[in-house]
Formats: sequence, structure tokens, C-alpha cells
Amino acid sequence: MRILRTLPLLAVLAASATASYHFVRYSSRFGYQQPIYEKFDLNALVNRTVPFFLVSDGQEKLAPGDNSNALMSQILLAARTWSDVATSDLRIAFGGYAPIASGPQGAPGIDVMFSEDVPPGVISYAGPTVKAESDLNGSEPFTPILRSLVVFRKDLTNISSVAYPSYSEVFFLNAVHELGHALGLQHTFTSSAMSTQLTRATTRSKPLASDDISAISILYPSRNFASLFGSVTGRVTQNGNGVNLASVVALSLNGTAVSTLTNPDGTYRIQGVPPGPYQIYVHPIPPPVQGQATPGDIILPLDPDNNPIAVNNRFDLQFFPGTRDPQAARTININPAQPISDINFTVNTRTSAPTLFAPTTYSYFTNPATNSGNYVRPAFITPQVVNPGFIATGYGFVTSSSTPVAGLRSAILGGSPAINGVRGFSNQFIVFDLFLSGFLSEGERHMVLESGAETYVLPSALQVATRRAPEVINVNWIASAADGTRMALVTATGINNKTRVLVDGEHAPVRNFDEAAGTLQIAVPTAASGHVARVVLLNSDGQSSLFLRPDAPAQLPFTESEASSFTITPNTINPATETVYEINSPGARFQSGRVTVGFGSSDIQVRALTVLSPTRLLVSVVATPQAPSANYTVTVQSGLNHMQLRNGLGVQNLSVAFGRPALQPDSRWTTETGNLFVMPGSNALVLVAGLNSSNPRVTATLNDLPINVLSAASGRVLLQIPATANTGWAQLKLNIEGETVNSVLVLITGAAPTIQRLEGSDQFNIDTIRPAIPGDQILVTFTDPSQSTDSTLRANEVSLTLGETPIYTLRVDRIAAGVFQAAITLPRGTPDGTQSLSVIVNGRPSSAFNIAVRNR
Amino acid sequence: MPRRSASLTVCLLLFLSMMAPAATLEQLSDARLIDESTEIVRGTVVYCNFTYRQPVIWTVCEVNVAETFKGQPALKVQVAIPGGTSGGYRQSFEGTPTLTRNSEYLFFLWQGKSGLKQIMGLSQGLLNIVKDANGNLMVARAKSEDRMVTPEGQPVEDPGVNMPLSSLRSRITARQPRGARQ
Repeated sequence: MRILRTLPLLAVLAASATASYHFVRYSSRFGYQQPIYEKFDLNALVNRTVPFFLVSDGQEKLAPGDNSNALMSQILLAARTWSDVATSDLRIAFGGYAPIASGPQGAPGIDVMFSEDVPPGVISYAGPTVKAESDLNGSEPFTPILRSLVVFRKDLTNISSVAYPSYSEVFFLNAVHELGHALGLQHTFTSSAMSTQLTRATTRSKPLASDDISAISILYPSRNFASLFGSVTGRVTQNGNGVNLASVVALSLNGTAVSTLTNPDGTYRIQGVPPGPYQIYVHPIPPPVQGQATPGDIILPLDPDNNPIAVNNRFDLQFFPGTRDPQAARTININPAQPISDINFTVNTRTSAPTLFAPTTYSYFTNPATNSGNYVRPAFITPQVVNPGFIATGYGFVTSSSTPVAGLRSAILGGSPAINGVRGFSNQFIVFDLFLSGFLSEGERHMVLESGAETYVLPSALQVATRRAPEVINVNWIASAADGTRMALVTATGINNKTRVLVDGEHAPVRNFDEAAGTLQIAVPTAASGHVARVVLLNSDGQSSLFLRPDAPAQLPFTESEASSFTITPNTINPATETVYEINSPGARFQSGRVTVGFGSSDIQVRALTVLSPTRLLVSVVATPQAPSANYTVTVQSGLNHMQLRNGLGVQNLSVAFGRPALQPDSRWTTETGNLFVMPGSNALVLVAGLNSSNPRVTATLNDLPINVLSAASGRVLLQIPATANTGWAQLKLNIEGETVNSVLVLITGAAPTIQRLEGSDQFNIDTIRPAIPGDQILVTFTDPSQSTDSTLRANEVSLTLGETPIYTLRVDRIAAGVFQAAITLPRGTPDGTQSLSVIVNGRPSSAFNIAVRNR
Repeated sequence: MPRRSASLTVCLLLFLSMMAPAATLEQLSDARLIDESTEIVRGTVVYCNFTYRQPVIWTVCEVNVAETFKGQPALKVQVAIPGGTSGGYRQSFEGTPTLTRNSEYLFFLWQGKSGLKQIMGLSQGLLNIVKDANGNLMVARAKSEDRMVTPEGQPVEDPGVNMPLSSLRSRITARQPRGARQ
């Protein structure tokens, strides 16, 4: 590698770096303080959504009892995991099955393929494809990801003689990890989803850690990201020179760890840090071990000449300010939108790379019902762990005879639980015995190891759960719900009102929880007859029912007939148009929010979809101008049922046949005053490209019912929407001068949301007797009649205003059908008295709700 | 904590043997490296080029073969590694090794249906060739703690850093059926 080029240190700009790490290069124009990331260009995506495609011939070799639809459903769930990050603006959607993976010449997308051409020793790998040159224009330079590829081995039955079932923690977390690479993320060292398997501490129940959320949000920030998180900046130097690729970590005793890697000049900026008290430390990236090509398997950043810049890992860990002892580390309070600067480190120089690194922790879970046990990672302390402790292995602290190295010191940061002793075990593992006293709060704990002059911190080494892991006793079908949804009853132990249920990779909404009976009534996703799904329970403490039964999760057989085919009408599309298609599938059970349609190509994407009935869909499809003339496979995914229609849609250039461009109505209609929300009873304005006549004859229908055309001239058509119109997507058809133009799906907005009540963290209602206190958390309960029965809301779909001040939330919970709860922090500085609070859902504001405020 | 028991230990070791830290890999023992490779050669990298086989950009390096341990003897072999730059595009996969021109390596190669010869386990099947103080050829890779096990859970001796090439040669020969030995 070439010697690092010296670039001007642009002292004016604060250093820009990342949480976790990304694919990075530097330019002469912006210097080393402005890394250029590889990421998808949101402006080049329909609905800011990157489609992913499954490239599969259905011939994957799977674990006994596993099946192709179950496997694919886990990948869909892994994609949704990233798509649901509230502070990321990037969405990821299933685009159907593709016959082959597309090359970088295609429109943006992600191909997930199962290949026989994967050598032994490799299970999966993933990464982005970009243009060799970056886009340095605009306020934020970046390198557009053109296409990403995720490759899985096709044979999942024999990985070190063990089958790799798709429902397992290992497979799912692996899929999340690889998709993270496809989105532009590299490895991190904070035990997060993007850490390697050696130190990853995420679980099926909590598949993303704070570092992952920050990493994806930095690449694709939503409008609420900056206001909800804090940042830390500084520089790491060694003998006066900047240290490249040093890992700087903001570590909280509540389990949070957010990190970044330094720029070549040693500068760094950790973004996306949740508010709270932190210690900051810097540590070297571990050297490569067997199977790794570079330290930490990081793809090195590129200098302006496209040469990789070497990592400097010849120094020792250090807490700020300048101490190896975490007890002496300074605690720094990080607040949203208040950057902390000048957290600088001057590190020593080692003669060799570190030798103490990558500990891996495990617990042993005993299931008295089956009189068996199994190892779980990361290490958990729960009521089911009889003798408190955990085992660990790693580099630099275990001897070849499976005993602790002489002089090893260890501690849990914060001191609770205490490590009572360390002893040998077997096969390169040692045991850490814990002393439990008093009350242990639930959450993650970090561990510090010291051996000789080296120190290593393992974030989330241990997780404390105050309840036992959930366990399914049985699952049975019960009578369908009044809305026709198929229902099942799960009888289980270790569950609570926040337990979630997975049926293979599909969430099954809980319609009723009976704590006394230990049952959950769930709305079951559709699946083909004969499908046997695995039912897994997830608790918010990170535990799942797989902890106790990793090899035999509960099964739910599907015996009722289910649709296996569908028709699509019409079956052609023009490039550069948007057209509405009708999909009919006799015997189907389409459910709103549980159906996707894809065409196996980034050039043909779905902009909107509506379920008209259990057997009928309307889908609005956009074809890019460069969509090649060809036939495409149409995929309808309804729950666990994946139906494909080969050559179902053909791209044809019909404008050549007619000699003039087709009239194209814009689906983004507004009210005549420009309001984005068209409600029943309002007038709607539709722009029609190519309509040049001054007074054309125009008729219109909405869902095949005639509606009044108030005026039509020069590309603008004004319509009267009936007061009785249903809310949701509707098909608008225009007939202009006797020609029926492309129909579009338009959105009729429902009534505004309504705030129902406010509660403090003490669960008391907030009113004049118990006013809200600035700085405290408030739970805002509101209804949104436009949401369907099982709909949930992402936090970035919801915001609130207090007077003129916007307030964002990190989480919105569904309490009941159409009822939601958002947690906010009342801003400090809010004056005493009555303030007006409003909730805004997808841009629709509620009426003001009075909130009494009194400062302490 | 459980008492040590053979079955529990085997369970743990089986679980761990699946995991390796890069991309998503399974740890390969020396025995599997030898048994499952289609070709084992020692050679020097002459040059590397790129080829695009949709959807992967491959870095293909031509190697002058000095010694063939397994497979048909050949003067040259082409080693393919996923990722690289071609046609104005760059594709990156973590965990893929970089071969240095004029450097000598020991390659455990696997040829799939595509015909491309890939390194086993992304980089697990790639060993550096170095000389010790006496000029003897040694194979070297990043030292790993002895956590490799066979599928049966038996520990496998890790040659660690700087193993004589002659020793590895003998081991390769011993694991091959008679008639297949070079």
C-alpha cells in the first residue's frame, strides 16, 4: 500500500465520520475530514424504496422440515428489520423473484441469490457495486450504490455437519448482517448486528443495536434523526500524527454502545448517540484471524488515488481522558442536537498488534420440561440460569489448556453483577462466575478484560433478563375473526403483553393477550395448504422461545386450501408510465399490509397497492424510461404464500404504434388549494401530462363509480370527490376526448388523528392536578382512523408539535386497532401554563390538545 | 454452570465450529481444506485482471505454479476472488483476500460449476510462503487460537504460524488416496 497522501486539514469543518463503519473513500476536494460514503441515492428510488429480489430456482437444500417459502420469509423479515428503522429514510421492499441477478447496469436494487458456486467454508457474503467514480456535486458528496449482491450458499444442510434452519437465530441474524452490507454498512466492534459472529450480541428478538440504527440513519437520515440524537467529535493522535481506523466508542452503562472509526488524520465524529451519560474510549481494531483478510475484515478506505489506506492498530485502549481505568473515566452527558467536541486521545505506540480481543460469551440454558440444555449467545442471566455465570472464549485471555491466563482481571462495568471468579473449563473456554445480590435491573452489561498491559472492553457481554424465556406449550387453530382473519391460540409460559409472535418470518399480530391463562390470540398470515410453519415468541428483553427449544420450535400446520395462482389485467406496460393493474386470485386471503407485488426488476416497481377484497388487488406500477422490452415474472406475496406468474407482464413501447405520447395523469393529486390530503367531500386537482386542449371532454370514475368533473383545461382536471367515498387507495380513471387514459391509484385520506390522553411515566394522567414537567417523558395516546386493524406506525411517520416547536419520537406502539402510543420528552424550557399539543401522522395534523405544564 | 460432559462439550464445539469471523464463514480444519479442495498448489502471482460474470465482478489472478500437491499438474492456474473493478464499476465484499503480485502463496482451491477456481473459505485456504532463517520454505498465516474442531468435535492441531512446507506436504500426501498423490 502506498504511503498516506497528505491532504489539507480543513480545520473549519468539524470532522465527519460515522457510527459503525461504512464503505469510504476520500477526495482531494473535500479532504480527510469528509469521508465519501457508498450509499443508495434516495432520489433515484421510487418512494425512496430500494427493491430487493430473490434469485432462486427453489432447489435450495434445506434443513429437515424447512421449506423454501419459510426460508424466503426470513429474508423478507431481515429486510424489514432495516426498513423499519425509525430514523432512516430508506425503505426496503420485496420486488419479487428474478430469474437471474442483475448487473450494475440495471436500476438500483439488491439481489439475494442462492448459489452452488460458493466454495466450502463460505456460508454467505455481500456487498455493494458502485461506479468507480463518486458524485462530488451537491451539499453531500457520496458514491451511489448501483446494485448490491447478497450471496448465500445453496446447501444449508451441511455446515460443519449441522443443518442451518431458516428459523434459527444464527440464520436470521446472518441475513440481517449481510443485508446491512448490501445497504452500505461495514463491520463494527460494538457487539451489534454488523459485528462479526465472534462478538455479535443481538438476538432474533432484538436484531439491531444502537450502533446499527445509528449507522443506517447516518447514511439515510430521516428528518427526526438529528433532533433525537447527540454526537461526539475529537481526534486520535499518536506521536502527533493522526491514527487511521481507530475505533472510538461511546459507551453507556445502560447497554448502549455507538462507535466510529477515525479518518486518516485521526479525526472522528460519532453520530446517532441516544441521550444519556457515556464514557468514551478508543481501542485498536483487532488483527486479522483465520478467515479474515484485513484487521476486523474492514475494507480499507481509499485515498484520492483509489489506494487503500492502512489501518493503525499499534496502540492500547484508552478511556477519556487518558486512562486505562474505566473507574477513572469521565462521564459525559450527551443530549440531542448538542454536539460534544474535543474528546481527544493521545495514544501510545505498541510494537505489535493487540493480542487481547474478540471474547465471545455464552450461557447455558436448562429446559426442565425436556431435561435438556443448550448454549445461548450472548450470555444471559435469567431466572432459568441456576448457577449464575457464563463461559467465554477468545484471544489473549485463555490458555491452550483452557484456563485463564495468569493475572487476568475482569469486571462488569458498573459492577453489577459482580464477577466472583474465573476458572478453567474445556476446549478453550473459561467460566466467569457471577455474584448476584439485590436487585438486578434488566438490560445489557459490558465487560472489561485486562491482561498485562492490555485492556479490552466487550459491549453487551452479558444481558440480564428478569423473566424466564418464553416457551410455547402448544399452538392451535381457533375460529376466524369477524373480519375473516384466520386466528390461532398460542399457549405459552414466560409471555407478557409485549410478547411478539413470528410465524416463520411473518409477524402475527396479537389480537388478545390473556395473562391468567397464558395465551395469545394471533392473526395468522396466509400460507399454502400443506405448509408447516414454525412459531417463535419474542420478548422485549431479547429472549425468544428458541432459547429453550432451538431445534424444535412449535409448529403450525396449514391445511385449508389457499390460492396458488392469479391473473393480472392488463398484462403490458409502457416504459415511462404509471398504470394500475388488477390482480385476481380465487381462493386468496389478501390482507391489507400483508401483501406485496413484484416484477423481478428495478425498472418496474410498485408505487401503491390496495386490497379491494380477499381475492382482488389493485396495484399501481411504474415503469422507468429505460425498462427493456421483455416479459417479466409477476410475484404476489401474501403472508407466507408466494405465487409467481412467469411472463405475466410485458414491457412494450406502445407510443410508437400510436404515434403520440399517452396521456399520463399524475397520481399525486391535491385539493384545489394545494393541500396534499384529499378527503371525502373535497375537490381534487389532477395534473395530466400531454393534455393540451383548452376545454376537452372529460369524464371520470373513482373505483368504477362516476364522479363529477368540475373543470378541465390545459393539463388540469378538477374533480369532486363524493362525501361517501371510502378512505384509502382508489382507482381513478379518466376518459379524455373518448380515450381512456392510464388509470392511477390515488389516496383518499381519512379523518385526522385525535389525541386521546397524556400520561406521565408514573402512568398517571396529565392534567391540571398532575401537570407535565419539562424534561420528563410523556406517553401520548392517539387514534388514527385511517389505519387498518393490524396496522402499525413507524416513528418517522409520527411527529408532534408543542405550539410551534416540533417534537419527534423514537417509538410508536400499537395499543389496539387504530390506537397508538408515542413516547416523547417534554422539552426543557417549556414555560408554565397550558400549551397546545398536536400529533401529526404522515403529515395530517390532529386538533390541538391542551397540556398543563409546570416546572419544578 | 454445567458440569463438563462429553455431549455438552461436543454440542458447544459443533456450534462454535460453524462460526468464523469474516463474511459468514465456517471454520475449515486442515483436514477439510485438504479433502474438499479440488486443487492445492504453491505458486507466485504474476498478474491480476478482472472479469465480469453477471452479477459478480471477479478478480482473476494468474499464478505460476511451482508445485502441485493435489490435482492435475499445470504450469499456471487462474485463481478467482469475488470483488474488484471492471467496466467503470467497483464491487466490494468483506473478507476477500488481496493477492500481491510477485508474492508466493499456497492455495487450497475449489472449482465449482462455473469453472472458476476459488480459494477455500474466502481466505482460509490462502497461506503465505516465507523462508525461515535457514532458507527453508515455511507456510504462514495469521495465528489463531486452537479453536478448530472436526465435525466430530475433536480438536485439530493448529499449525499456527510458520509451519515447514515439508510438514504440510506430508500431511496433504497422507490424506490423499493412493494413485492421486503427486
